[in-house]
Amino acid sequence: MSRYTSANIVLIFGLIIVAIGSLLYGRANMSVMDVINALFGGASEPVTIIVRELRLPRVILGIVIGAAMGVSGAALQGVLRNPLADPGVVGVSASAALGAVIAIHLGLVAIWPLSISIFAMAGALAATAILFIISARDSSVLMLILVGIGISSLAMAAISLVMNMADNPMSIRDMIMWMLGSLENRTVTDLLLAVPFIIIGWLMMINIGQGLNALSVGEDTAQTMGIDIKSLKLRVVVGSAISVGAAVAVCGSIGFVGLVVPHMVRALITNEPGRILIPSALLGGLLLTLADVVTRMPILSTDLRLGVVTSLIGAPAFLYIIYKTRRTMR
Amino acid sequence: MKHTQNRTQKTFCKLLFAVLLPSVFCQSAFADDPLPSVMSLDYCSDQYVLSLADRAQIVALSKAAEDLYSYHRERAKGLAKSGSTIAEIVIASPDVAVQTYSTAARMGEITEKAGIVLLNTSYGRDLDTMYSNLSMIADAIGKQNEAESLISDYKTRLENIRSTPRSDFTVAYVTPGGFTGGKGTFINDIIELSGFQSYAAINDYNGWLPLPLEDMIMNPPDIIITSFFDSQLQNQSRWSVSRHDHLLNMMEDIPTIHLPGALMACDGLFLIEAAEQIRSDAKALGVLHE
Repeated sequence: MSRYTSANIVLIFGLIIVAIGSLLYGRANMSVMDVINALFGGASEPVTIIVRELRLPRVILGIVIGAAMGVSGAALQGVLRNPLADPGVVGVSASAALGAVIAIHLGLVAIWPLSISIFAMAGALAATAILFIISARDSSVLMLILVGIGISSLAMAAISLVMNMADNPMSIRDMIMWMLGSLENRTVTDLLLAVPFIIIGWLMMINIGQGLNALSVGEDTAQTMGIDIKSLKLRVVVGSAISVGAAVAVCGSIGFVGLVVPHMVRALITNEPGRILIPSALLGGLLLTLADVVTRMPILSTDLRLGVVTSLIGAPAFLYIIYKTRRTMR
Repeated sequence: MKHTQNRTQKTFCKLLFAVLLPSVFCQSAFADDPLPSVMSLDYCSDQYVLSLADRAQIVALSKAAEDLYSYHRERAKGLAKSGSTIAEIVIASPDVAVQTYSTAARMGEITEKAGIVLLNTSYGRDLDTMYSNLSMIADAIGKQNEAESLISDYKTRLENIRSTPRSDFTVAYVTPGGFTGGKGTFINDIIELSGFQSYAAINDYNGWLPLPLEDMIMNPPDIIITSFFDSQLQNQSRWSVSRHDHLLNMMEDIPTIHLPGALMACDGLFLIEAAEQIRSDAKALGVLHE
C-alpha cells in the first residue's frame, strides 16, 4: 500500500473518530450505543431527536464545509500557483458575508428565515460572476488575484458601510457573529441549502488533478501537454466560489482552513498538486469538525466561535509550515 | 354709635386685608410657580419620567420613547424627543435630566456647569431599586405624592400576587437571541413571583446563558415564556437556539406565553406587570387554575 493511500485511510479513520466524538459530546451524556441506536433506530425519542436533529446536521455540515474549503484551497493554490491562495483570496468569502450582512440589516429574516443564507449565496455568486467575466477575457494568475483582492476590499468596505448604518446593537452583534463563523444551532434545513451547491462546485472540479500537475511545471508546458488552461482556471475558480459561497451562506466566514490544510497535506503526504485534493478534503473536514468540538468545550465563560478557533489553530500552524518549508518556497 | 361701628368695620376689613393679602399673593405665586422641568435620556428613564411627570414638565424624552419596547410609548406620543447628546441637553436646559445607561463622556461635568441636576437611576433589577428610583426622581421634580401612590399600588398588587396559590408547573424563558435567565436574574424572579417553578433554577442555571436545547429535549418544561419576539424578530440571532426547528416545534406543542418586549426591556422595572400578565395568559391557556 502506497504512503498516499495509507495516509488517506488514516485520515478517513481520523474523520470517523472525530465525527463520533462530536456526536457523543454535548450537554446530554450519551454512550456510543446510545448514538448508534439513535442513528439506526431503537433509542428513546429525546435521545434520537438530540442525535439526529441537533448533533448530526452539525457534524455533517462540519465535514462537508471543511472538505469544501480544503479542496477549494488546494485547487486554487494549484491553479494560481500561489501558496497564499485560498477561497478568501478570490473575494468569495467577503462577498458572501456582505450578502448576509445586508439581509441582517434589512431585517429580512422576519419575512423569510432563509433570507440570510440566500443573500449570502447571492453575494458569493455575484463575486463568481465578476471573476467569470474577467477570467474569460484575461485568465492570467496576476489578474485573478488582483481582481479577487479588489472584490474582497469592495465587499469589506460595503460591510463597514452597512455596519455604520446599523442602528440596532442586536443587528451589529449578529453581523459580527456572522464574520466569526459558527456551526452552532445549524439545522437540517441549512444542510439541505448548502450541500447541493457544494456538490455542484465539486462536480465542476472533477478531474482537475492532471491539469494541476501539468500546470505546476508552467503554463506553456501544460499547454503543450494538451491542457486547456483557460477552462481549467474557470472550473476551479467558479467551482470553488460556488462551494465556498454555499458554505459561508450557512456557517459564516471561517478562515484559514482553505489556506492551511493544503500546506499541511504537502508537508505530511505529498507535494503533487493533483493528488493533494482528496487528502485536503479529508483533513479539512477533520479539522473543522475537531474545531467545532473545541468551540463547545467550557474553556471560557462563553462559547468560542468556530472562525476564532480555526484562526487560532491555523495561524500558528501556517507560520510553522512556512518556517519549515522556507527553502522550497523560494 | 353708627360711626364707631363703621370705623370698627373698616379697621377689621383693613386688618383682614392686611392678613389675607400676603397669603392670597403667596398662594397665587405658588400656583404660578412651575414644577421643575425634566428631560430623560434613555428609554428606561423615559418610563420613570412618563410614570411621574406632568406632560408640561417634560422637555424631551429619548428617541426610543415611542419604540415597541417602550412600555409607556402611548404616553410618549406628542412629546419632544432628543438624541440625548450633551449639546442637546444643554440647549434644552431642563431643571433635571434623568439617565439610566446613556452616559456620554463628561456628561456629569457639563450638566453641573449648566446648572442641570443629573439623576442616575440604577437598573430596576428588583422592586426596592425601582421604588428608590421612583422616589429619587419624584423628589427632584416635585411629584412625591404620585411616587408614593405608585409605590403603594405596587405593594398592594405584589401582596395580591403573593397570596395567590402556587403552581408546580415549570416555566422556561427564551429570548430571540436564544438566551435564558437563571438564578440571580430578574426573569427568574418574575417566573417565581408569578407562582410557577423556574425551569432554569431547577436545572441550576446561574445568570444569563444560551438556553441548552438538549436539556429542553431531555426534560421539557411545562410552559415556555418568550419575550422580544414581538419587537426584535427581525433581529432574531442567526446563531441562536431560538431559530432551531425543534425549539420552534416545542413552542407549538408546549403552552407558550409571548410577553411583550416592553415588559422586559428595562430589567425588572415592570416586574409586577410581567408577573400579572404571565398569570393572566396562563389562565387563558388553561395551565393555571385559581
